[in-house]
Amino acid sequence: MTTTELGKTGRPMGVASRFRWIYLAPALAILALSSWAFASPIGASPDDDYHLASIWCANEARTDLCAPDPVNGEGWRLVLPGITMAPCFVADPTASGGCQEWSSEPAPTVAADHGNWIGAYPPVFYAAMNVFASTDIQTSAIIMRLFNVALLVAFVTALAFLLPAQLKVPLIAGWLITIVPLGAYLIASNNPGSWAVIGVGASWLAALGWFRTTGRRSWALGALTFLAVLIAAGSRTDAAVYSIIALGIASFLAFERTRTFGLKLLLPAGLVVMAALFFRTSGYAAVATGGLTGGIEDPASRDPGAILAFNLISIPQLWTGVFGSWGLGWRMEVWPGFWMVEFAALVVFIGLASLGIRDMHARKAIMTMALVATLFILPLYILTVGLSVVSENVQPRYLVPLVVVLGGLLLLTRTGAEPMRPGPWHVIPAMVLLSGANLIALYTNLRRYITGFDVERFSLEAGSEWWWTGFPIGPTVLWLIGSAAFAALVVVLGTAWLRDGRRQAVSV
Amino acid sequence: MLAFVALSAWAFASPIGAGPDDDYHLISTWCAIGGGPECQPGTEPGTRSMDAGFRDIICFAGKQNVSAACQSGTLDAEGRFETDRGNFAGEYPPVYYAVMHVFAGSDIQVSALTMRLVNAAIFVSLTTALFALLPVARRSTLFWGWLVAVIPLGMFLIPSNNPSGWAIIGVGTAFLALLGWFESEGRRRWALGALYLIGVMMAAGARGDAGVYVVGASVTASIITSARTREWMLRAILPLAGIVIAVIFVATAGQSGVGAIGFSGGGASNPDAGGSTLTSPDASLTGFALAAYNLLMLPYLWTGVWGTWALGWFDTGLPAIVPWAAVAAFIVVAFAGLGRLDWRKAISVSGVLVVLVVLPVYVLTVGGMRVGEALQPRYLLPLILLLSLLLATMPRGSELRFTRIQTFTVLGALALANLVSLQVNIRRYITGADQQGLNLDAGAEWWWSAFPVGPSAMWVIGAIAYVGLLAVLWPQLRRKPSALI
Repeated sequence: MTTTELGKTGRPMGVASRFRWIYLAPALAILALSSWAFASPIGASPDDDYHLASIWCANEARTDLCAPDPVNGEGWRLVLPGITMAPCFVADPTASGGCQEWSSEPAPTVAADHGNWIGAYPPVFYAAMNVFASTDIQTSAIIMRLFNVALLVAFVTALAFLLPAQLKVPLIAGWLITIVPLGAYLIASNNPGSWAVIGVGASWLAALGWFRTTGRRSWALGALTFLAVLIAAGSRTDAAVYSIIALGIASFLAFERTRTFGLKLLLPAGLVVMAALFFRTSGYAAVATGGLTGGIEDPASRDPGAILAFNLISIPQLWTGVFGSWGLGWRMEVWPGFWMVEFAALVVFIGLASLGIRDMHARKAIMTMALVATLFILPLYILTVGLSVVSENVQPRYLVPLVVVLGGLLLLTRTGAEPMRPGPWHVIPAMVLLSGANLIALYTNLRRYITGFDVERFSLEAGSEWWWTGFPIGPTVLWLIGSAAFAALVVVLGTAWLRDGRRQAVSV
Repeated sequence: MLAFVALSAWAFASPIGAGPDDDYHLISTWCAIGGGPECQPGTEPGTRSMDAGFRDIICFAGKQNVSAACQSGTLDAEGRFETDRGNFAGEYPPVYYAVMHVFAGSDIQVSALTMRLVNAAIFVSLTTALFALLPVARRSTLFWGWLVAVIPLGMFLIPSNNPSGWAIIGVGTAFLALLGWFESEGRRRWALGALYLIGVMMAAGARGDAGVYVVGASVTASIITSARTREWMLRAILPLAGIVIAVIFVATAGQSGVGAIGFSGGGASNPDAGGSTLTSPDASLTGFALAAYNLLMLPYLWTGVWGTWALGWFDTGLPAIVPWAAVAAFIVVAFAGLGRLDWRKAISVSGVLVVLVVLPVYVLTVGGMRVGEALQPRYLLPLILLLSLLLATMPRGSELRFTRIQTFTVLGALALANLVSLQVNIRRYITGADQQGLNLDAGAEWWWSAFPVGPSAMWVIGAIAYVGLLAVLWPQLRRKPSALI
């Protein structure tokens, strides 16, 4: 009925169809990210032997999954066979996921000393993931990945409904321009980095919405802020720090000298205390003072001045890693084809960000500079204190959460102003480039694990050495579905953005 | 003036022979128009007997830890040697070498330096002339287009002994001058027409591929200004003449054979981009797979222009901040330019983009090579410059304008990229890349003998001059549209 009425008034069907299409966005996002979840074998994301063991051992009552080690004692656990060996392919980029072996009747028999029973990471992520853990490691791990995907989409969808219109552009576009390829890969993984990205990326906008709305909406956003900070600070130590930064940004942007603001400030203040507690109680806090030193031969021979100078001019290499200049996976070595991914993703990010800095009010400018400075100084400090150089120890994935925040922040317009509205010749190339980057990245990622990079053929099925057993969809189909879903998502959101802009232009 | 100083600092920043294939180009220069005392006919038609000073002129090439000190004593060595490495069979068009030959004397260093400075001066005077002659609205095209495309590779090549410098200057000048030719009247117009022909001669007279590019520049400038009028048709005679000139040069130069068969063998070594680049095992790719691989790795060639490839003989690796800053500056300007498209600009831009994609992929794939081999970013630089100028060309009625913060960010990024790359470049020749440190004077193994300005001072002067240049350009770049009329 609505449709016919609109049709009569001469307004095109556009309005009605827009609602229908954009409602598809969450489903498309789930589809696109789920294909990332299936695109790499268990154990593929960095340090997954540690994280998988930690998840399976997070609940001491479940002795069928993880048991104390009577021989080696404290600091050791008996884990299911397969978990420690899952990342058998990481050392060799030409090795496929085919080297994995899964026991048919798994019981905790393999001794492991590498897991979070030493308390290096905050416990929330592992405890939550433990709910999905079972003796069928592959299925459980896949369910966890899909849960993480659903978690992100739920957060973004809830925020999209609750946030004032002006904040929707930073929300949606901010995410889209920063998650290809590394963010998408991390979110759909078994790595606590997934929650770090989701939580930090969602927390600042949720908090900003908490300040800027009233009534029930405001309370809902407050609850989301709490959840976001909880999953961020509960997953990684650095994410606890990042979520404090995110809350600081939101509070600074929303600051006003009113009683309401003062009262509302109590929530972020409380959350900052919570995040700080997570930070203090986990073992990794020592990084803040000692830096990261792992894997350096003979650190004493290094000249701190030279290291500082080198790092000073090389930090951007860590930033571009978010867009693909470092590959995905453990060592983040350069992957073939990723030049195009990096170039495309970077063009979209810098291009839209450059439009974003057109509207640079004082508060945004201060926060942007502070965030960029953090993105520069934090890795610089941690590397240099630990006498490491860029490409050692600190990986781009640690920076993804802050880059997501930066992407959104850059697209923010001043309070009360219209949201940013780029023209068609900005949005359309961005849609093409992002879809292309995702397409190539997903393909390369599949290729990496199906055969390794020693096979250079187009067909993913031919000569395949690894795939999920009993999974009805083949790799090529998965690749096509995932890429098409992502492209459709980008197109749906992009056209909605453009149409919004046109409507505004007409009404003005 | 500031631009000249900034470029001159680059001219002094690397020793003679530092440009890729400079042994070839230097010998070709000295041997142009019948040669001279340093270049006598050899025993065979394809060889020349050269002054021994040329023998070890590139002793540091490809060895990033070897400073230019290895040159000392070799430049004035006694005796002669015979070589076939030079433009003796007409692989390159003759104009560049002939003009540069004017400055060739018995002192190789002084002559070569003079040539570099002359090239810097040519660039600055052409650009200044364009600034004075072009319609005011096109000045932002001139500045933005050039600024974001030449750091760092262009800055290295323009004041060098390498014909690539002229290829860049020529293509850019020809495009801008032709725009002006179509869009202005009277004496101005004729002056711009003359500048266009100079640009065509420089590009097509320096390198075979630049001849092709300058045709592209002529066509795109004509498309952008096209109108269905008698007047336009009449004026289009000039680019037609330019294209004919370029085609003649290309047809007579041997290098153009590359277009048909691709490069064969003898490729430049793949520069180590830092980090653990994953080069696939020797498995030889063919056909579709190779084309796909080259297509996906293509941006590596493009961004080489902004510093992902090492300078010089691929032995001056630049730190990540240089390509990051330079690419970001380009993207900001390009993206802003992309926002304002009319169909003429859209056709031209997509045309150049298609060439930028198809040309390297085709040439590499036909030659059976991968990105990283043989085909170098400097060959594409004139095209990327053309793309940059095109994107910065605004359709009538709109103007390329940035907010203060945008302008500051872009110029800041450029200044930073220039500062760092100049330092790294000087460092590489002073001591080799094995020693680092901010002070370039300490432990210097090489510098121009009897030259009053030290390396550190040269670096500071060059960097400051560039910042000064940007500061002087600031009011031009920030000019309000109302002030244009």
